[in-house]
Amino acid sequence: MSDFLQLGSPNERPRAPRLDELDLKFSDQALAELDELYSHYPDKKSCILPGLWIAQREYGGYLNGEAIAEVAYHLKRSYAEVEGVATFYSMYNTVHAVGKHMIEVCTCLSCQVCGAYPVAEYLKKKLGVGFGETTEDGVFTLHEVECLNACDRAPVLQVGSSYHGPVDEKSIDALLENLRAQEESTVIQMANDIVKVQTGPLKSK
Amino acid sequence: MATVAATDTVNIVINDVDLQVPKGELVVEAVKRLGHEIPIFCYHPRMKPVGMCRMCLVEVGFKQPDGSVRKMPKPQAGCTLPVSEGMVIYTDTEMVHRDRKGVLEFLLINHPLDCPVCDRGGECPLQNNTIFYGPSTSRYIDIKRHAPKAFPLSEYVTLDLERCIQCGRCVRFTEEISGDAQLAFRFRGAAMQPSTFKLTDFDSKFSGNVIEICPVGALTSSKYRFRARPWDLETSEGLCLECGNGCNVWLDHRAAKLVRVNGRTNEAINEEWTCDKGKFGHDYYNSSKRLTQPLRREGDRFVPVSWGEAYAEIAAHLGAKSAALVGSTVSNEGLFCLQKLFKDGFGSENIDHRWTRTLPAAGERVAKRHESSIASLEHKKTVLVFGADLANSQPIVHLRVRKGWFLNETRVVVAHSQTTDADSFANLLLSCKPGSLDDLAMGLERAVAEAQKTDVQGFASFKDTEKTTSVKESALREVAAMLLEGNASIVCTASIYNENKPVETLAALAKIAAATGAEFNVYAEGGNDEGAMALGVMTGRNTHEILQDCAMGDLNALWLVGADPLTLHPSRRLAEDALEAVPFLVYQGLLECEAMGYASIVLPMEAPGEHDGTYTNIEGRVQRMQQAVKNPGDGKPAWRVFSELLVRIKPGRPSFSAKEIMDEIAATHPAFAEATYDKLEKEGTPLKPVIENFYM
Amino acid sequence: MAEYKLLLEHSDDTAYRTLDGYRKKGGYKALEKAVKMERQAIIDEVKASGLRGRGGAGFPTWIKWNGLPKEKVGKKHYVVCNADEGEPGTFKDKQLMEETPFLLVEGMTIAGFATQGDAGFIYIRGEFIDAAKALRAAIDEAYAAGLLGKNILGSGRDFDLYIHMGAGSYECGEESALMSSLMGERGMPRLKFPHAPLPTISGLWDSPTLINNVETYTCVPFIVNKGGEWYQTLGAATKNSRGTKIFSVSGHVNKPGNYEIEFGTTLNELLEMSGGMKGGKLKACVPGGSSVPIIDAEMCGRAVLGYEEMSDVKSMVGSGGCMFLNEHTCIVSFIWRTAMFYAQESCGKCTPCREGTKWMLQIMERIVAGNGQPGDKELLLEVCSQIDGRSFCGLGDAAAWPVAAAIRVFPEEFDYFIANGKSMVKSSKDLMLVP
Repeated sequence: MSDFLQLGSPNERPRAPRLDELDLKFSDQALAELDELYSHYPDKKSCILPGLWIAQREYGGYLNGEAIAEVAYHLKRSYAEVEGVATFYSMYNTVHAVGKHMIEVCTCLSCQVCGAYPVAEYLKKKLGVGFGETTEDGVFTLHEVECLNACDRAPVLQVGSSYHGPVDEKSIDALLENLRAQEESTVIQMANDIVKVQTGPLKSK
Repeated sequence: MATVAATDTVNIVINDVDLQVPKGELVVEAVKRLGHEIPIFCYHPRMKPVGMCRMCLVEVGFKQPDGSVRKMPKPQAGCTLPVSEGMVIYTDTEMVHRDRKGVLEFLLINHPLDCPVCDRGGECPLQNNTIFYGPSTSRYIDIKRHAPKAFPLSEYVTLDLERCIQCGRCVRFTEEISGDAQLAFRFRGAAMQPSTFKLTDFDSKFSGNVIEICPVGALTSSKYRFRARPWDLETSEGLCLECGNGCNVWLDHRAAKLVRVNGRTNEAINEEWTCDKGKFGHDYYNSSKRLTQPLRREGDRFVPVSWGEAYAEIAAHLGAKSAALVGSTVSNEGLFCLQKLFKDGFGSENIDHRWTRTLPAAGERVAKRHESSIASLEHKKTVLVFGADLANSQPIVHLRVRKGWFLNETRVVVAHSQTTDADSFANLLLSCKPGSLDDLAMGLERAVAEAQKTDVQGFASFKDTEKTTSVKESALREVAAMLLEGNASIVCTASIYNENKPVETLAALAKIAAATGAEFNVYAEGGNDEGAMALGVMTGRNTHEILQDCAMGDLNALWLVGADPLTLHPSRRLAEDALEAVPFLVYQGLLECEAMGYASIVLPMEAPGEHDGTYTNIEGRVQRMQQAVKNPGDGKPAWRVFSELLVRIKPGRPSFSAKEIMDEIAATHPAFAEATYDKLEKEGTPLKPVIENFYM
Repeated sequence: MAEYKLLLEHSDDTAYRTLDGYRKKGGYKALEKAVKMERQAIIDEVKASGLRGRGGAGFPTWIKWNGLPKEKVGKKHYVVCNADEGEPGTFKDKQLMEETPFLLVEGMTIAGFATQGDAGFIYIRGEFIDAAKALRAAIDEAYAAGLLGKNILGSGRDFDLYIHMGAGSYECGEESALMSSLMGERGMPRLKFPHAPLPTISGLWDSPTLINNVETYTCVPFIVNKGGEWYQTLGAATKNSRGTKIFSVSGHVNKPGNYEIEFGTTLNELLEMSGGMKGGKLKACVPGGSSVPIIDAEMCGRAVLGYEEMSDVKSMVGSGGCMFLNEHTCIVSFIWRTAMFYAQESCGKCTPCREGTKWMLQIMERIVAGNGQPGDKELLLEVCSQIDGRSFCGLGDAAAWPVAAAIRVFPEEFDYFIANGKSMVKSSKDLMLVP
């Protein structure tokens, strides 16, 4: 078989990093949290979801390839498997980096009929971005999400760990004002909250 | 009424035919007993059923005490449903046909239907099922899903996501069979796609299999791409000789050229899998470096000569002070004729085919090389892989061991100084310091002896063993306990002869095996190395001695049969010196190579698929490969060269066919008694266990 | 009938969220009682109560409890709480976890006692951080007080309780997908009986596993305390629905929120409790979460809330997410958004759901954009019938039902939209349903 019609040489595809080439970033606290989580489950595979939450916090709110590889490294799973899990769930930010605050507008059914789309339009105009985009200053990312299950507060939106609703143009203005003033990233805060509620008080400390 | 002679059966009805089938058999399999078929995509008999594609929906009901049938309200997936007593299955109702049509319509709305330019066209399950069961037109008028076409996922595999029907076969293959989990589904819903991590290189030793199991043209072979259409292909049953496993393959050829190698089912060996070396490693058939005619050196260059001239030249130069070094792809017949030629024709016994660092003498050799058949490995309770990188050197054995671990709770212990693919699933890893395998084996022997409360005088203490190997006492004791539980197998390969003190290591392991009742295997490595050993080809000087003799000027002539010492021998220096010094060198081979530069005579050899021949795999299974393609030049099979030459030197009746030679082998070698062409079985015939002249 | 507050009786009382406050209101009496009961006696109480799963399917709870092996065979038993509330229109579990966390913890502990559970997992959807924090605090307090962990209340029995957070997937509310997700996999459903053993035999990590909804577990302390006999008197007017049920009312009503009622209350009464319609007359209602078939005002008038009773109006109780829509709502746009939800949330495992939900969305998108084709309505129904009952899990069915029901109940709206390229409902700006 000649190489006449062969597509791509072996070097054309970038190869995945070997385990010893990874630049591990998990803090001591993260490792302690992982240790605590191992004790909850009979195997390490079950820690993939909690592990990804830790990674989302440790890597600043965005699960890039290195973050996924590090989770795979700690849990002794294949990169592809962990990536498959991470990309399945909508709350892991795997596609692109996000801003400091993520504004997630629910437009599903109850919110839809209570005026979520005008609210979303207002947000788009005010921030100058569309759904899935981040403002130029990197502060806000706007997302459309499915039902947040706070339909009594429709139209509702989520920023970090908190829900806000029902919102109107006035309350949105106030909310954005507050968020701009906030130093800490609500995206990271939220990942941290999620890790904390799962680990509980760390036994090792 | 088809019946099964087993007590654990259930009575079911398929399309109004009463049937008795084993309890728990899947509906999709049970239906085959009637010669019926349920169309499938995601189901694969060698992987766990998942019920993803819904192509196999059937109607299912249960017989009621009053004789009526109560149908389940929803259609059921036949690929996941085990049969149970009183089950009534309908595969041919209006509803079933409507459902199949519906599923196919769904699958096709996002399929590009680019069959005319798809390699799978003509042998595509999606095409076939659509023709049999699908709708003739589509009601879909919206925009199809788009993805990059012909994405090179690796050197071998090309991915076309538009064609993918998300059946998950490839993903499950890497999870369940090869175990490298290189592929996974990414994203969800309609965006779901199989992929490697971040679309990096698909780095697997078994990636070629996903091409074969893909039910559409989503994963195609980069090497076979656009080279033929299935209906232009002829195919022949072939064997792979890249290693000694003896995998069965289909050799697909077009216009007498080999274009593709696919796995062929042999339950005793490779089931249906191939490794990438086997699937893509047959470049030599069509290589531009192929030797096509006999050549004779004249000064700095080679000139073509006739076979007769070449024979005359060889006959004039070879005698008692000559030797032969053999590669691993010469057939049993070739090896036998070579031996005869040297013994009867030249009066020399100097033949060897081994290239390891240590070449044990007759007295030091292990008596048993293959107690466990490949297939039996999946049913072992414990498998100890000692000092072997199975995934690289015995890929199919690796798959079996992993299968046992994955399906049958086989406990796998890996003892090695390097990292191997088996580490990822090993229940216990004895990772020792480089060069300490011998100490490890002895430590293990002590652990077994202690467990059996026998004398441990003369053994190193566990502390010392830990110092030299870094393996802890507790781990050794654990392995000993596992081996003593019975039904265990110790797996080594001939590569152990490249380690320190292999003879002592193997002796220790053999004693452990004897003490624990474990089966012991030192599998050969090359394509027909086991055949060479079973035939007792080498009796005189060994490889090292032959090369040394050449270098010292003690040998007048050397014949290289499909072997290049410069790449095979551990000491390149010695090989160079030998080839430089030897006055007359015959190189017989498939391709041009470095050693050829030293040759006086060059003989073209036929590749294994170009002539009839038998080969013996690592477990002593003799299999026959018939001619699949024609030699591109004037090459001859090795056995013919040897027997033609012998007639010239010592007139007599020559052998006319490989079959005849095999009869002769069977008559002279008791182990091969059942391996004549008339008696060879479909899955190959195991050698008769004759403990005689066994050595490594 | 009026509201009947059982689970939500103390929901406004912030002290109830602490162990002290909870105990003062009779909390942990049930567990104290349960530790002295035979395991089977607890299950029998649940059986007598007639409690049915509150997650949507309404499966008799005691059958699950009774299905776990009575004798342990070397494998751990797990108790799982499905707190992945994702059904659009439902927000009852959120309130229960935030305001009555100890009810859930106590209920799960009792379930653990009854089924020899070694450990419990509460699978909370990732967005519910407030709920998770409330539960975390409750669990930590319970551990400190010896109500979780080793030797609970001196009974010699152990039970650990862990929180596992989801990460954004509606599909994980399906119990087998939830198990996949809990075990670190993509949230895809697993084979179900008769294709595989029941989870009560082989669930999480191949061990016997009990899975119930939040609301189901929170009912348990009351059943154990007051007895199954007492519990089954609630809702006695219905055919086979017992106890109370929390309905989450949202949409065009004056007082949206959770309302706990006895089964047998009418839908009209529920609407009255929630302050009546806002902004116009009642047009339609989705009574049990987005998956259940939509009903029109006339059907609303005669709907009685009960598992069997709702089928009289060709709908279901579902998870209790009740959305009322006023006369200015365009049903076609509403169904477009429903289709979008299911296309977004389909896990992709099986063909009908993966391809079908996407196709339905494409057709609906076309229609609301004014490009509907003649025959689109029939095509939608065909696609629905090709998904319904053919998909791997219930998500496919749930995606098909609302579309098919809307076309059945409001065919003229679809016809008008397809023929004229615009809605027959004159929505005000506030009711803009499509971006």
